[in-house]
Amino acid sequence: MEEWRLLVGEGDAYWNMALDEALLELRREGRSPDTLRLYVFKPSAVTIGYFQKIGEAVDLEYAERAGIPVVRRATGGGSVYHDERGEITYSIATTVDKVPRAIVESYRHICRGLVYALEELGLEAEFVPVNDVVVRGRKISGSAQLRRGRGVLQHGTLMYATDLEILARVLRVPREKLAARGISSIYERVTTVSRELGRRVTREEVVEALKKGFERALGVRLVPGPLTGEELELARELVEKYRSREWNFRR
Amino acid sequence: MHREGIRKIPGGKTVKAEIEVEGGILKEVLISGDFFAYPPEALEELEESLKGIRAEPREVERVLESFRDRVELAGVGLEDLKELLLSLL
Repeated sequence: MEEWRLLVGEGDAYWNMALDEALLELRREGRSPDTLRLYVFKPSAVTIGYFQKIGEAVDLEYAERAGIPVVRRATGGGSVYHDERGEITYSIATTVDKVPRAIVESYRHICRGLVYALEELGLEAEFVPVNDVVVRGRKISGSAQLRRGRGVLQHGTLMYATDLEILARVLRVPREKLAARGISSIYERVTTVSRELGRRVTREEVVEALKKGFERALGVRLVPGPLTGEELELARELVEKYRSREWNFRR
Repeated sequence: MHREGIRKIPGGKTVKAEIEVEGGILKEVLISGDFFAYPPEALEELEESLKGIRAEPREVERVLESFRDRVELAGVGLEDLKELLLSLL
């Protein structure tokens, strides 16, 4: 069976985004292996999509007051609150030949890892195009993908115990979006594994479930391995971009 | 003159366009939202290509059409973007 590297770790928002981009760049050049990375944002942070206007996606005043860093991703999509104590982010760095060519199908393929992980935890989940996974109609995970050359990066969130009150305060959802869904409360639109199961699940349980889920979805064996010197070096270069006001406030 | 509009795609994403028209010319164009573009840079090139053209439907359509093979959008379509931009003219 094919083996992919498994990385498990934590870091601040800037580092996490820099490392994901470094993995994509080096994977596309054939200098990094196919990788699944499972990580935590420490401290809790917000990431926004490449095309979002930072002031419209995030309540910046609240984020500042609460000490929540906000960083723009290299990937599109919407804003995400990454709760240090309630959310695991996954990222996959691979090549285009390992995923379906069609964009939505490639999301579906990779998101199957999340669906299987949730099944492992005892929940029935469903992929909803383009990039969501829902449980009983409520979003529990969102993903974002970037392709560069032959490289593919897909990262996404799985909420297992996210503080939805903070999420609701820090993320700004356009009125148009709420209106189109006919729902006004964030509690009705998003959920967590703990809420759905009626018990507090641990980070370790979720990491284990994600590992199994992605092994099954991708048909690979995940083998823990270290970061290479080259990866660390490139991530250290890229982190400056993610820390810069120029990048984060470009829209 | 500043004009802006938002399109919410049912079951999909949101796209916002802001334009600045001066003397019949598109001076500024900003497209934002929670959609995906492959490659992302192509959307920025589209914004650049729209700047400086006459603020007329035919001109905007011509530029958008020239990007049909250069960018693939997900969450919103090129048609949505076209309708949105044309609605601002």
